[in-house]
Amino acid sequence: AEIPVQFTQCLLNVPPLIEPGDNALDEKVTIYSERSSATFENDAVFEGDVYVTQGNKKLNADRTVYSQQTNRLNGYGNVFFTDGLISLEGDEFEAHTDTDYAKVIPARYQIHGDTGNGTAEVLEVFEKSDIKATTARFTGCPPGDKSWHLRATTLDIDNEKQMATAYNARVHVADVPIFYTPYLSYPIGDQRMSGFLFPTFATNTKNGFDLRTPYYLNLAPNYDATLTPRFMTNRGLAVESDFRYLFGKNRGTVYLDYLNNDKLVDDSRYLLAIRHGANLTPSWNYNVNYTSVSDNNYFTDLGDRNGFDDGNRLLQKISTSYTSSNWKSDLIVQDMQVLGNSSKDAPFIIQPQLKLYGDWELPLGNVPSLLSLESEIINYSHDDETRYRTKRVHIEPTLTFPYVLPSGYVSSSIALMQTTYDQDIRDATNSSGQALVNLEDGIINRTLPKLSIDAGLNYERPTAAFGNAYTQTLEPRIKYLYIPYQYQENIGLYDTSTMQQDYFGLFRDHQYSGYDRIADANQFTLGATSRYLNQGGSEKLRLALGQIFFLQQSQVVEDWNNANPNSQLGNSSTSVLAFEADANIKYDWSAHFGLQVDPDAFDVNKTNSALEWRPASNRYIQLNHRFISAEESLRVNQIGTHFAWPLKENISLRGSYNYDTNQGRNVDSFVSLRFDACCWAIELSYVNTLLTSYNSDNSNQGEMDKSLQFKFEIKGLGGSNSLSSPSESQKIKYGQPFYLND
Amino acid sequence: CGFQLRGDYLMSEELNRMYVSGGEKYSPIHREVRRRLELNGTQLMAEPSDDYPTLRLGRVSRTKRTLSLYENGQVAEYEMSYRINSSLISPKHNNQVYPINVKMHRDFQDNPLSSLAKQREEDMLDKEINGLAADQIIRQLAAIQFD
Amino acid sequence: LESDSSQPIEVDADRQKLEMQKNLVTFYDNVIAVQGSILIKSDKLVVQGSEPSGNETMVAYGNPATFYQMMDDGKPVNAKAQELHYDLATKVITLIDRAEIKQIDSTVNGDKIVYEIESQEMVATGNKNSRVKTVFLPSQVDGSNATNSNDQANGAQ
Repeated sequence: AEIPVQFTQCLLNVPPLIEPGDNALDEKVTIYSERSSATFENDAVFEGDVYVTQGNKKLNADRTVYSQQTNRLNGYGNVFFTDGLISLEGDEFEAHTDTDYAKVIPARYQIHGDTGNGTAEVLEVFEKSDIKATTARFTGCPPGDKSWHLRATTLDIDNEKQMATAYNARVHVADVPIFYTPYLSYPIGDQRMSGFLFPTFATNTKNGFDLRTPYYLNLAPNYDATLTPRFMTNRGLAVESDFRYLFGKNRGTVYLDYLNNDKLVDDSRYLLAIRHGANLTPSWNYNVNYTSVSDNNYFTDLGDRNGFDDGNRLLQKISTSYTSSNWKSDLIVQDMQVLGNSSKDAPFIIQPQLKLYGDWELPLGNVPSLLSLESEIINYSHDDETRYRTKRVHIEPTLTFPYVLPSGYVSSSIALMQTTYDQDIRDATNSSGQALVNLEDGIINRTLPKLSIDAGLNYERPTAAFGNAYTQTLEPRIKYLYIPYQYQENIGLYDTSTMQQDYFGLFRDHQYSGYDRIADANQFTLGATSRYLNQGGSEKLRLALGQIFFLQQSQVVEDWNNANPNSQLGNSSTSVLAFEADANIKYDWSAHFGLQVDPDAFDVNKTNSALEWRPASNRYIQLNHRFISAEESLRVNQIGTHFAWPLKENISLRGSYNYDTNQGRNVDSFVSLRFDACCWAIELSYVNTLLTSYNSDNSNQGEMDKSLQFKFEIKGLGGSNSLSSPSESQKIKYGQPFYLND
Repeated sequence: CGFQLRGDYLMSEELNRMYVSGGEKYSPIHREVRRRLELNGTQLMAEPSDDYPTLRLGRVSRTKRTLSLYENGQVAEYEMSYRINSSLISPKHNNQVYPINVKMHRDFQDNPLSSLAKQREEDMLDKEINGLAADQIIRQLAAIQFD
Repeated sequence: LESDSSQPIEVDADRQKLEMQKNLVTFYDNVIAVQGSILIKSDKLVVQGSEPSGNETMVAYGNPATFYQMMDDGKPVNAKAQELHYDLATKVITLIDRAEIKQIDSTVNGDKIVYEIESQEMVATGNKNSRVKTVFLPSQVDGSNATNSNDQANGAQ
């Protein structure tokens, strides 16, 4: 991304980066001096304002001695050295002209093309200009700017990995030491990771004043820890800890947050998360993905510092997978902590699940064909002993004949879906207490063949729009699907619900996710996509329109509607009409519009639209609207805006506002004022977001969480200067919903 | 109205032999790209060499962003963004590297009451994306102009 | 070579002038003086004789005057300057005004260069408007591509 303009004057008096030529070491060494005395083949002494050059390397000194035998060049007094990558000043200097080694005592250094500079008692430059500095100081501020610096007993800069590592590091802000750590590694150069934010302060309605001060402990080369005491005036002192480890092929992180006594709730609260992975062989790996929290409102009250809350579902999964050229198998044990659900409607526990997938190319004559086998054995159990449960075996061999030409394709496939249940119906009621009269105990078999023929053509023509030339494509697509009917209301719902009906969804073989309902089908899906491609082949406009035409109503959907009076599914002669449009009209205007409308009743099921004007990378205004018509708890009608606008050279205003028209209130809004200096930044941000209420009695429904956050970032020590560094509690973050493939 | 079927052969002859590497060898995206290459008549070689290009496939990285909220504050819609950065290296053009970067997006409506079913739907989306991303990779491969 | 200093000096020139009582001989135009492997070419050469012989001093003037000697290690030394003094007694060559001395992989330019043949010790000094310039090729460069300036010196004049 181009450097925002206010940063270019930070690089004003910083020498530019000059990459060394590839045979830099073979170039001749030229030495100017007032006087020189030498004997051929060994030492030569030069005195009087000596100036030495070799390729990009230049050296000034009062006196230098060069020994051709040992290729040593030593300089004494008023030493200045540069090689296009780094510049060094010092009293004494030694360089090896046959390698890239150089040493300066004591040294003042400046990295080229970057604001990084500092001093050191001894500074050594190695091959590819890696640097080792002892009793060193480093700052990311431009020369002369004393805002902050880092002191360390040793500082290593790895130029290739663009990483610096400081040992016994103390960070001084305006010469006041504010932070110590025995080991600190941070990125230099332009790929600055976000992350190492120094003490951050926040105040919000729930926690009062909220201060975090991270401490980094490098316990061993292959494991380290970050302990972050967090003091909250309303709740007390918590500790957030990350333990990272790497043992052989096993690597992972354990997160443990513990708040001994939350004064507001008068109870202790914790979060435990494990992310562990191991690639035992290129084909065999296993991993652990576990997260659990003490109570439903943990994230609502204490925030989600690392994206643990994946849609109020906390996965607790151990899986191992083995892949070979034709086979892929997974063995999974999984439970889930779902925030808000009472134990009765908590999801089923997977104990265990074995998935086996294989595919083989079968040369049947010269027609390319593919045999694939999808199979799964699963045992669903449940914490609530009264709840129904089952074992299930699903085997689905599919034979596909893909026939592809540049001008189009025809892909037909036949499959056999064989599923066997062994249900244990203890208490046949669903989560809201309704009796499930149709559930059947014991063995149930379901065998359903499937035939699908999917064909598409690729038309193209040159055209012109908005004054420049495009290639417009027209890609009509038709898919026929046939699945016979079998009564399935005797089967419980374990991992099945209806799926989204956007353009792609219309071309799926199934209306339901999972295996517990396979809708009978005798239908055609018609669709067409049209793209406008510019010379570079990137999409500037894409339109898509599709609909399913049912030759017969689905009997399974009919059974579903009879069994679920309050969640009716459309079952008319056609599906929703799905339309999608994405455009990047002129360079700085983008638009998106998605629509799903039920043509019979002509009511709109779902629309989403967005418009953005972005004249520069750090300057944009976006308006968006999302609408879902559904029963009360699942409906959405939300208008939103995101904007970023630089007020002055280094002051930028960012914000977002999302309004729910059904409820007539703001649901998530954020505004931040950021002041960017060359090497530090202050950001004051205010977030006002709707609290996610997980209490079953919806007691805190509609409560808002207002928080004011003050962030002090040090740039050059891994501080992020990315514009979109979101504050934690903001829910709807900035993004560009314009789905064009450039 | 001026439309005619796309006639030109999909892939230039430079790509009729290729070595595919990168990412986990048997990952879904790897399988989907290999199958499409074979369908397009490309001969997949066992190891890299200077007579034919190497396609280095990146890993699929997926990020989720909240788009809208239900009335109880729980997340209603997500935007799933997939990114796969790959590159074609052609030894015949002094190891020129041609970047092939694919971005795919799908929005996805969540339902807090059917967590397992939504997890299945998400897995299905991931599976579908591999196919669509492979199409995009083939389309960008075909668009490379070898100077 | 080590044996050079014990070799007789032969001088060949278009014209010469003898001043017996000053024991001074001056040679003019295309003067070539040879002593063993030492070869001095100049436009004018003034030889100051000495008793006993062997301690003569020679001053060569040229534009430039050139000096060549093959060292024992097989590496030739080439030097040139507007004015070149050769003191046979001390075996010291003094090059004055746009002086240059060159060996396989190093070259020194300066206003004045004093070069002791025995110890191969060489001291160069500059003046206010021209500084001493020394050029080395890093020794790992193999002999094959020694700088071409060395060959050009052999075909001097």
